[in-house]
Amino acid sequence: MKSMLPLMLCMTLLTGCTDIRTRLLPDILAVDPEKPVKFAAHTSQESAVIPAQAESLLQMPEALKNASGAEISTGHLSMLAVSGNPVSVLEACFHAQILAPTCTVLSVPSDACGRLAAGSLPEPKQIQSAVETGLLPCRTADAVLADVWGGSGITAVCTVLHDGLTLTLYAPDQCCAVLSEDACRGLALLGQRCKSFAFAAEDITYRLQSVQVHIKVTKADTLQIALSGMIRSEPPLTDAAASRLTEMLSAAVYETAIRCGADLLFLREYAIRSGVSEARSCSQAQWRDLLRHAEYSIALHQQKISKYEECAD
Amino acid sequence: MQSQENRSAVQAAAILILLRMCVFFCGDTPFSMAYAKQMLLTAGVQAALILPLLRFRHRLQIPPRMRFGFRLCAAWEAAYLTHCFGQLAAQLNLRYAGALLPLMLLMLLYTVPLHDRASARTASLLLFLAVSGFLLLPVSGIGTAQRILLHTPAPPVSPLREWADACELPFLPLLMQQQTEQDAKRSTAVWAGFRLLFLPALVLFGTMQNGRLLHFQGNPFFLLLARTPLSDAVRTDGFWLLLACGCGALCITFCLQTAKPHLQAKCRTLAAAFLPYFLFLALLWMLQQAKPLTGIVNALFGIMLPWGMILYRCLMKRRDTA
Repeated sequence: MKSMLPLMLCMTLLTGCTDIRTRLLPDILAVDPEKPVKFAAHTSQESAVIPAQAESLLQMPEALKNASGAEISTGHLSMLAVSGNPVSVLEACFHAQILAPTCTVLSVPSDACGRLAAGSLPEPKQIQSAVETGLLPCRTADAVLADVWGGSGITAVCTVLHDGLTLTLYAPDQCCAVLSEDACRGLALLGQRCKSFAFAAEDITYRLQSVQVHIKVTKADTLQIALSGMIRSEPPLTDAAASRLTEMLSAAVYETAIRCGADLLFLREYAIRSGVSEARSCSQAQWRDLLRHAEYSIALHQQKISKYEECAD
Repeated sequence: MQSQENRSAVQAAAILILLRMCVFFCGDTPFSMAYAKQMLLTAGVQAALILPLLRFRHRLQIPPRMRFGFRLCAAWEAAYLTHCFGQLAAQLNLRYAGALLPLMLLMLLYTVPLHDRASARTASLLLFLAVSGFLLLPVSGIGTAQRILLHTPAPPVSPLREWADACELPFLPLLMQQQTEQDAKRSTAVWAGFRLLFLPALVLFGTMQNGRLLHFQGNPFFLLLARTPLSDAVRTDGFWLLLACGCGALCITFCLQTAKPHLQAKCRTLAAAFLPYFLFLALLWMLQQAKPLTGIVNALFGIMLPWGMILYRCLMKRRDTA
């Protein structure tokens, strides 16, 4: 045991622990990726914004440390806001492990740092609430990068436009399109991460209680994307309500896959499961072309209430 | 290789499992269906070649002339595991990783001369901790796992890599001798179950979580942990990092204990274990191409040498009878 004592002493000296109270934990980080790269970090402890700049993105922790005089730990970031195309910024931060995979990503048209300082960026809670109510699909760092690295190389990122939050499709080097509200809602419904989903049709508000959508991708002359779903809502869907829901799903498929060749719905994986050999071997550009020429169909059905549930009612 | 029946089935199985687990924690192969298939295939071949050895348990005594070679093999495995931990530190961007090296050396100098049973008992304790962690993992990640991601197209995985990762192979015949027949059967069956069922299932679960993130340059297992919802609440990655380091330290200690000869002088004993260890470590550090050699070492000492000995003894016996 005596020989263990110097070992334990060394361990405490070399752990590199600092006083956790002097460490700053930013919850929102804004990045303007021109040269020099500008940063602004909002810290939850002091509710202050720390501006900084550096020659490269990866010098961010050092730059913020110099600007604030305190050690920075980025492990608790809940939102990353980037001016313009966020893909390259996101890739660099993700590989350098500056960013937690579940951090929400937001794209703003310009001056993300200025907007954060002025308090005009939406809060992470606001985006979270939009995801939970089915207004937007969940677009965290891991989901955004997964679509860039896999699928067709085009991803969707939450964006602030003058009239609120929406989704923008980005390839690594260009902005492809801005999605409509219906497409955002359709993607949220297909992503199945929302806790409640309500929509209006013929002045009646419908609340979805259970949604089971199946996707099948097959190939004849062109790709055939078939969405079929069982929906249960309160009140039960009328034809007009079902048609409204179909419009949302249709907008989601059309505006992402058919118009831009974006694969946000794991269409490539569904195609591989159905035995489409091209999906396994083709490049991302080839898969985009295949999607652009695809045809799609949507069939929604009302889920019947079981006898047990009827009795319970 | 001493044939002392002093290990229980749990202890032997724990050492074997932790050796493999250790390399798994440090691996950078992205989780995919192709990886799970390759893992299953390689483990199937290894199990098919190892399980019949149970019948010849008493013939697995390494002849004195070959003991030196086996000790070198154990030192190589220790160096390979240390190299893997260097890689894990790089993958996780661990700060102060360099400061840990002198600490690790001090720790090894303390643990290697301890009695062999100490590492076996610690192994069963660590295995219990690992099992508890793995029970929590699917519970926390079941909500975010997507079955369709099993079909994500992924590049093929080299079988040589799987052989290199099977660091427990050379120690299987050794542990078989150190147990009673019943315990040897049990521990080898648990090892086979772990390799054939548990690890491929874990990789498939990881595929359902990580899916398309195949180009991530960090550690896929820690990426999986960071993406499961439980990790947000209780920061389980700290637990896993401690467990990974604990497994690493224990496995390196076990390998070095196997590598040291049974001499009277303590300094000479330690030098005989540590000198080849440092030499191999320097070789692995300077020559990245030397890493796949581990696969050949594992196959040679885990499968070819035991079978070679059995065949040789059979032939000798037949000649004597004739």
